[in-house]
Amino acid sequence: MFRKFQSESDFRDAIEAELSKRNMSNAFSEGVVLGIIEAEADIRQEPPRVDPSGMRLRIGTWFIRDDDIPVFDAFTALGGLVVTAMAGTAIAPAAALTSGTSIARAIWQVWRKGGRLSTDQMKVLCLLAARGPSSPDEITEIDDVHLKAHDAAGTANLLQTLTEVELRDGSVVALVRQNPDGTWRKLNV
Amino acid sequence: MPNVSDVMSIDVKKLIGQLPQDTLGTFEPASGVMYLNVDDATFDAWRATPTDNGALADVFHHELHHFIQTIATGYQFSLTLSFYEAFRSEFGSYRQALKFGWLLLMSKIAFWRSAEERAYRLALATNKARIDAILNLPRDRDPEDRSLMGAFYPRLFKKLEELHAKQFRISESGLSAADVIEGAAVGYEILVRHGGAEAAAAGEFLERANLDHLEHVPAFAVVTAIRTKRPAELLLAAAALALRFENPNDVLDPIAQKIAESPLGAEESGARMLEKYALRDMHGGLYLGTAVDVRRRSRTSYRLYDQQLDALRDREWGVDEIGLLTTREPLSVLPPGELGFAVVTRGSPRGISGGEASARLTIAATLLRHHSLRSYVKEVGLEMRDLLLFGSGR
Repeated sequence: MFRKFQSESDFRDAIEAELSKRNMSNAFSEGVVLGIIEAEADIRQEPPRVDPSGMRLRIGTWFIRDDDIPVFDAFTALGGLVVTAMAGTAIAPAAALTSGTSIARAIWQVWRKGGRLSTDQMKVLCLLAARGPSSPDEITEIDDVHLKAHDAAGTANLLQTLTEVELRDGSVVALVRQNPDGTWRKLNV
Repeated sequence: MPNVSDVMSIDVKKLIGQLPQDTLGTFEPASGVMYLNVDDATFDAWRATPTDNGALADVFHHELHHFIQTIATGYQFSLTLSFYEAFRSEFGSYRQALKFGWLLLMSKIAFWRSAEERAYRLALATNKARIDAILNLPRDRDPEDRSLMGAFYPRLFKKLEELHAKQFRISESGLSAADVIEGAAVGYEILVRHGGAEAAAAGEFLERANLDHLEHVPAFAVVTAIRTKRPAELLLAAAALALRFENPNDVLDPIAQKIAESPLGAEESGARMLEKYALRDMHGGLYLGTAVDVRRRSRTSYRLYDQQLDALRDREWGVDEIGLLTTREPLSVLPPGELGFAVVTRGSPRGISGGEASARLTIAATLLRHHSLRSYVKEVGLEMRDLLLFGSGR
């Protein structure tokens, strides 16, 4: 159901273990760990909204729910995608680390707040974080992306959905924005 | 093409809201609905082998204690009545209006020829009414409240938030009423988990009392300052009586002190002695008594827990309120099928069906603000578009 941890360091160890179970032990996965920790810190700084009726039992500490497992699985796939996206470029591990942090921070925040992103949405976010601003054409043409949308128009529609991701409380967050030149960029959450 | 019954029926699953990720469960007392933040498969597996998922058992017993507090204590039952009255006063007039509008609509659609035409017109009228309501949202709504019900009924939520704020107000005792309610539920969870293992229960209680990230530890601190043996038992007995007052937070400490004068292990009988001789002398504001007492004095039309309150009044379960609030084996005391609350997992409601499920989940979803205005607006827009373009619902 869930595992809870008494400290941030125990939580961090558990995330590292989750990623290493999936054979992720590179700069990207280090970035993912950092991103998740940063996302948790951001969430903890926000004032909680309370239910006016009802007695909520909260976990009240660091936790990983069984429901979080698909997100770790997604990070594994995204790690491979970053390598593909950066193939042929003089990519330093630092760039993979930065991408991992940026993607994980956005995805984990949205996930924890009840927003649900599809694998394709996560892939596109990941590509924008790794490559920088890109056009739908460029994203669609990347090998191994395997989006359900087979053409640039479909990818543009997918990007459009990331401009308004609804969270559990009904608020909306924008994860990407279109530049005047038609390319799209990932926003910092 | 939609049919009339599709248009008019409520999809119960749509009423099930998503709880926040950090929330394991919640009990909404006015509707008597216990939400557990687990999927159906996890819940069913636990029901088949309850020893296999200790975490889920803890959540269930925690929320079960809130249900018991609702039917056994004057404070919690009064609060529940206040939630219900706030809901009723807001929806009473709307219900009348809806009834009138409905009669008018039915008289109109009776003239349309085919069943398909009637269903189409009905779906159109329903969506038009929804769009009108969206266009005429109250101007005094809280812009920070993005829930569907918060947008439509801002006055209701203002009232509810006042009640809520009162419950969370910390008095000079250093406690809030919510600390007493939640502290007792956590104590209960510990006691049920450890059963007769007294030392283990005390160990966990003391450990939790030192974890400052937990909510409502102040109630734990009150008890451990008095004694460190059988602290959970002491807290439960004291909370059982404190929650008979208007300000339970102001009397938890003096009641616990009095009960602690009884021999170790006699907390329940100590509470009964106090109840009999000196309880009303305590300074906790108005003495409300038990939930049965509150119901007897009120002229409420609220009937959800009548069966349970009658059973408690007539001692049909062989236990009184103090016994129910302090027992280690609640499910052996409470008769199956007569609990009066419904369990709702992420996938489906249990223990209620049909119209009752719709009504209770509607109340719960309203009070817990489970649905967002934005999703609703999108859904209505899409339905209307499909009706107009294709003549059918999605």
